[in-house]
Amino acid sequence: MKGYMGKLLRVDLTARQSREEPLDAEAVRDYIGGSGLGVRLAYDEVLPDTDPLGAGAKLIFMTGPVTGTVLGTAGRFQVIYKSPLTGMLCDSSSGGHWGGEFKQTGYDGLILEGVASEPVYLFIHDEEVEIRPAGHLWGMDTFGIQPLLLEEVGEPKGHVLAVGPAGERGVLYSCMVNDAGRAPGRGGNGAVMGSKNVKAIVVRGTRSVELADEGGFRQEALRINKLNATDPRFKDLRELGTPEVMDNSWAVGDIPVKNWSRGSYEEMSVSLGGKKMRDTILVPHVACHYCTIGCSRWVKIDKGPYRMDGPGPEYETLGALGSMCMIDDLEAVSYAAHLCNVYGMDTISCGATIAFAMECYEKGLITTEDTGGIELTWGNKEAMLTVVEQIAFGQGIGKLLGQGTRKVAEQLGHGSMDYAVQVKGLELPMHDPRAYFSWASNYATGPRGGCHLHGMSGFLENRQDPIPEWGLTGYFPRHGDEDKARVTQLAQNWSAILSSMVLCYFATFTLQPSDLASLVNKATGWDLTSEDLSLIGDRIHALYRAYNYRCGIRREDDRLPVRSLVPLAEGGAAGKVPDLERQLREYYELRRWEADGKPSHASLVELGLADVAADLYP
Amino acid sequence: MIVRLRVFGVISTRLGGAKADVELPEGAVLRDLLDAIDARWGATLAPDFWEPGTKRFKGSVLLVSEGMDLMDESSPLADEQQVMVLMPVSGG
Ligand code: SF4
Repeated sequence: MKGYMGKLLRVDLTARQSREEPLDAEAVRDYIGGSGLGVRLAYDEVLPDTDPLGAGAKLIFMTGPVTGTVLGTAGRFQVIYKSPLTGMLCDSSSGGHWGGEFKQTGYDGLILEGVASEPVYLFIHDEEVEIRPAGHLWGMDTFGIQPLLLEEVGEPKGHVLAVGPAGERGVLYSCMVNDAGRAPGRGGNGAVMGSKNVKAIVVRGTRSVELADEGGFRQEALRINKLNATDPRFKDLRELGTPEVMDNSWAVGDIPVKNWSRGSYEEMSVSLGGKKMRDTILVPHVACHYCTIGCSRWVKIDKGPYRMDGPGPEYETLGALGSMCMIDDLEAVSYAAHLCNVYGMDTISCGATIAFAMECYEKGLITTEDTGGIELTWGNKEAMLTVVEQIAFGQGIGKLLGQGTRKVAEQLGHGSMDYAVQVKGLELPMHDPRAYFSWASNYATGPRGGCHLHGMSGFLENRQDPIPEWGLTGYFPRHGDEDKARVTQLAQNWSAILSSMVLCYFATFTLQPSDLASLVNKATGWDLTSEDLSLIGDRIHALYRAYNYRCGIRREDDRLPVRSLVPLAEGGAAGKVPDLERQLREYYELRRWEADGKPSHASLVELGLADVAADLYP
Repeated sequence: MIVRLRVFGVISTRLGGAKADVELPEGAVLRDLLDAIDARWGATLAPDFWEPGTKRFKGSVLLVSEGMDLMDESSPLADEQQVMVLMPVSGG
């Protein structure tokens, strides 16, 4: 099986046993790998009523056919699991090098099941698996543990993925962290790993993957790497990283401010922007696997209260912990992001939950009695930092806030759900549907909840002929609803393919589906076309939806928070609100979903999911 | 009349700075501004950000003024009007 190692590794933590299983060649062809294959495995193995933090839960780590090759960004991995934050299926992606190294141990994927009776870590090296005690590591942060573990296993070239105190304590949006600061951030995979008593997974591999057309693949990969290194459209991303979004997107009103209640404005945004970072605290660093864009940042603050030396905040983090909380101090926000990294927490959900708590505090739903005296006022950076610590360690108000906005609003009541800015329990990312209307149907139908990475639809607006090979031609002005359902559908399919090949979204900005098909074909020897990829994207979405339908998700859950549909008074999205109902109506037609949100029987059968159709239509 | 361009990110490197004034006849509309941009910077913006044939920006480059996207080429412009030129990117 070219492009793959041909094997999965299954580790039963309860029995402390591991075994190899052959990769199902037919399933690989149907889903490519990564999230696609992981969703199929989860559908087959994890019952919809499984407790995400119980013994029946599984963590599925997957790579793809191009993982570990010279293609830039191909060191990533996906992790698939039932999310304790949303109660649905979730897949998250992480960059860095861990994924490439894992594949070189001889496996395409890893399934963790059961619960270890005591803290353990896994050491996987060239088809050997050791389950080792981790009692001495429990409580360590995700950064401090890395050199220590590499020394302990005697593999300085290995790569570590670990949970921090937040994952150990079951914070519902805790995450794993790998390679000093890369993380599959969203949905609470840290809590799932912590609930299994697994502290870390160390990988070291020297196996190489055989490709169908080594020379052809290499040539194509190097062409793309060169394009990403030189394309002038990426200049800002290369030089300023994702914080560059702060420098310009305020002008179009895309940056949420004050828990989504204000339009974005220049002073706040630029104070948190990429130029400010470059001119003050940025230091050189190593990017993800062979990546020639290198959007990731590293910052060093060696004076003052926020001393740190670690990964710089991404745009999403700057929005969630910064503008959402009305905090415009780049050093304080960088430090908060650093705390989230070392404790292992999703910065989007963490920042969004704190912003929500600030609004609840302002409205008197949370008082100083609840916070232990902390004045959780807008812009109070010291309060924000204290609360980040409390969330990670389950202390004080952090115990409540570690459950995410939806669960907090359920407990606080008094209409607070209207400004708990989440979809299906997942806090919205930092892109406003009032600025780019396609985010509306995209967030409302996103397979893991409110998310921009399962379809970067906003990026397809305001540009001519975004995906001509899939028939998405024309121009889609951001403040309009026409055809936005289709933009969303194809953006979601595109993301499904990327997360199944396991590639970074940024590295494919300039590509078309045929470029991706060509990479897969040269790696595997297949003959996929652009249309095949679109069909596979449809299939993955239908399967994902089917799983979530079985978890109880219905049409009424495909919604947006009230707050995100209130017109803004100022900024580049002032007065504009998408017509979500219209977009959803059209989206349901395109996806061929029934009125209650279930994929139609016929569509499932046509997508090769007859077994799923039989489950949904007994 | 003068239209004041405020240019963001990579586009500003092609226009030689973050700010530029464009002199237009009284009563000018967006098309006049695009023609002026073409005459002055078309060669340096093309081929990455400018379509010489249609004399329009390429890709996801936007013109925004007073909170509104400028799309209609017959939109009237005013003296001293600020027009922002940017290429927003989703990220994070
Ligand atoms: S573009 Fe950024 S996130 Fe993507 S692989 Fe490169 S450095 Fe990593």
